[in-house]
Amino acid sequence: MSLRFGERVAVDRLSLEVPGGSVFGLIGPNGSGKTSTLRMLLDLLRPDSGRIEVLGDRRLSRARDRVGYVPEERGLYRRMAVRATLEYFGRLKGASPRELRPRIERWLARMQLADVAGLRVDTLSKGMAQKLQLLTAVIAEPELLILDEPLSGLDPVSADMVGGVLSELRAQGRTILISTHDMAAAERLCDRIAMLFHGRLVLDGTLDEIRDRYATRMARVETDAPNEVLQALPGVAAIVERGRMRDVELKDSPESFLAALVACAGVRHFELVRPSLHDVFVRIAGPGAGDELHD
Amino acid sequence: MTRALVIAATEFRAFVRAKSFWIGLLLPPLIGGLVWLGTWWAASSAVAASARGAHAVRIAVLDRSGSLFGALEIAAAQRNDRLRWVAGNRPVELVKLDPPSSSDEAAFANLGRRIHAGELDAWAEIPADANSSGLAETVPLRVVCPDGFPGEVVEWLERAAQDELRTRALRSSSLPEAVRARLGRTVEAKVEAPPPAPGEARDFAPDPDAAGGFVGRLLAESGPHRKSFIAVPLAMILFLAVTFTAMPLFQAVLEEKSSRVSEILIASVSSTQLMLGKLVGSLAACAIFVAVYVGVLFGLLLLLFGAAIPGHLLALFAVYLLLSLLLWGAIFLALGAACVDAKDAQNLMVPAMLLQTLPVFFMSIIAYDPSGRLARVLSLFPPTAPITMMVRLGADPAPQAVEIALSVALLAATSFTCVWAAGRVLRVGLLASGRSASMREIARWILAR
Repeated sequence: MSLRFGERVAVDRLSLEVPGGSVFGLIGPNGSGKTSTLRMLLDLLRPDSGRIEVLGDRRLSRARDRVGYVPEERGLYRRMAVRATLEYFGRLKGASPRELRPRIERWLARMQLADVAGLRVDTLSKGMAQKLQLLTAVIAEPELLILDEPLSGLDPVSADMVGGVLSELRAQGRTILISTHDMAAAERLCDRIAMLFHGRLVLDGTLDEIRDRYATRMARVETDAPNEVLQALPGVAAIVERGRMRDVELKDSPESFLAALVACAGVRHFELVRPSLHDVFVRIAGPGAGDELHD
Repeated sequence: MTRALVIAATEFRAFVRAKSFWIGLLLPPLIGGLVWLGTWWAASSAVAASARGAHAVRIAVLDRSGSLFGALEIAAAQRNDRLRWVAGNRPVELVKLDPPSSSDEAAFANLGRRIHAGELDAWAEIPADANSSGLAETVPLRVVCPDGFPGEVVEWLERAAQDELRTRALRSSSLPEAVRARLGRTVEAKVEAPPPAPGEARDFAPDPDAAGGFVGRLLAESGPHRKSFIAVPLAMILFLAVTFTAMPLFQAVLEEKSSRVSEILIASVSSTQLMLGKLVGSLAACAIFVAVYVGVLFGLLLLLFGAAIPGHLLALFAVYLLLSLLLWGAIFLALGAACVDAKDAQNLMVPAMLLQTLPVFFMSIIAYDPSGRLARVLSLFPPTAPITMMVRLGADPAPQAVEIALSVALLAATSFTCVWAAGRVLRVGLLASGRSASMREIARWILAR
């Protein structure tokens, strides 16, 4: 699918499949087309060209009730009570009051919001409001959950709680699509990751596949040897300082580098580094990386 | 439809929980009631003051016949009672003078001084033989008054004395009873409005006797303008109802947009369902508003005027109200969706609000000249049609059926077009951010495929 806003291309011939029952991460820098992609999936925006199928249905309006959505910028009625908010959004998704009543109590208890169930939303802390926002999406028990930055603004305890809820939902067979800038969260939560850059799909695979694809001969060392000595060792291409550690990019095998290092200096730590999602992101979207991709 | 009703119920609750709704509901009738009571009190006070003779025409009467003064006094009381509701009328007060004990000249000179001193407005002398004069002879009634004395009072005094003398003459004549009765009959004018023209709406019939009091008589004597007593308040109720229930939709949508609820809403329901829900919610709030206002109007009319609101007027009011609410509800929803904050919103809101209030500015002109070109044009222009037509329906002549039908048809077509267009604006506008849309952009959203 493709989408343009005037002269600007927001999404460029994107072809993507989200496996059912998985947690799928959509990453990319600001303006890469993530939110536009999510909005097209939700039928909020219509693509200029292409075809979208959600939960096996090409008529997206029909799939609407089976999809839960949490936008990046949170939206709740400030003067509405917590319980009333859940009932309202649940009913908008077609759930009956009878179905909703036990679900609301269960989820409020699960997210530790039972004590504030009768309070107005504008009296909640930011973290509580975040959790409530997530509940507005899950209360109707959708088959597909689309979350835009679900962990932003949450403290570690709440983030773990939300992470636990997502794992629980995945275990129930629900599909979760997460758009995020938080690479650590994506690594922790997602089974599969896709990256958009300038509206194009530049990465799609499991975390292991991505790491393998972008793996370099990189060693992380803690040693007494100064940089000049390291640089002079055979097979060293570049050195990056990381606090006490230094990442050494190698041209040859790590074994010969390790042998040379041990021969000339004391070594307290040595490991072969696989690139993190953060590293991959920076390599793709960092300064100067765009040209390479466009080629 | 169920989703739209869920939205409608939430909107309705939000409406009736807002302080502004209750202020809008209760304050205008309260102020209107106080103004009305004040006006009634002032008018009643003026009438009462008039009746007390604060400005009465005082005439001293020297009845040398010794038998006419009592009859004239009764005639004066009847006159005062009959004309007490006529603007500018001065009641007549007769003061009996005893025959002068000294010379007439001295007594007349004294009466002249009293006139100059303001104690009396005039004095009159009835001759001693007035009662015994033959029917063909003229009875000289002497009236002494200053310049500017109301001529109609002189005429009334003359007529009252003449009627009494004629009645007495007839009574003492030897004519048969039937002839005397016929000769003694009087003619009394009764002022009424002309019957409605064929096809014209039937006038309502106030019953001043049932209502009584100043307002009832005022209504009864207002003739062809009496329908305005109902139609103009109905027009104002329509204006207030639309203002208090359609305009908050703008604020509600703007708030949803700024708090980002709108994105979740249109991900859950279609923009048509969302708009329909909001319109139905505001319609329900409007129903409460109108029920209270029309109920009060109905009660006042029944209690004070002994009149009811004609069914056809009420039916047309309902039609115009519904279409007007759809029209302005859709417009304010669309404007709310097109704006990003209240400050930016002024650019779009001011023209819309001016357009909505336009017919109120012209209300008196429309009522004064209900068949004029301006009234006819405003009747066919959908944004101004409801209020204009309500005012015209209370005027004389009322608009013809074909004109009413055309006005309703144009308004209905425009209202449904606006609802359709607002749905399209809502769909795009609720997701738009950054700055408020211009009218050109809004038009592009509406016309986009």
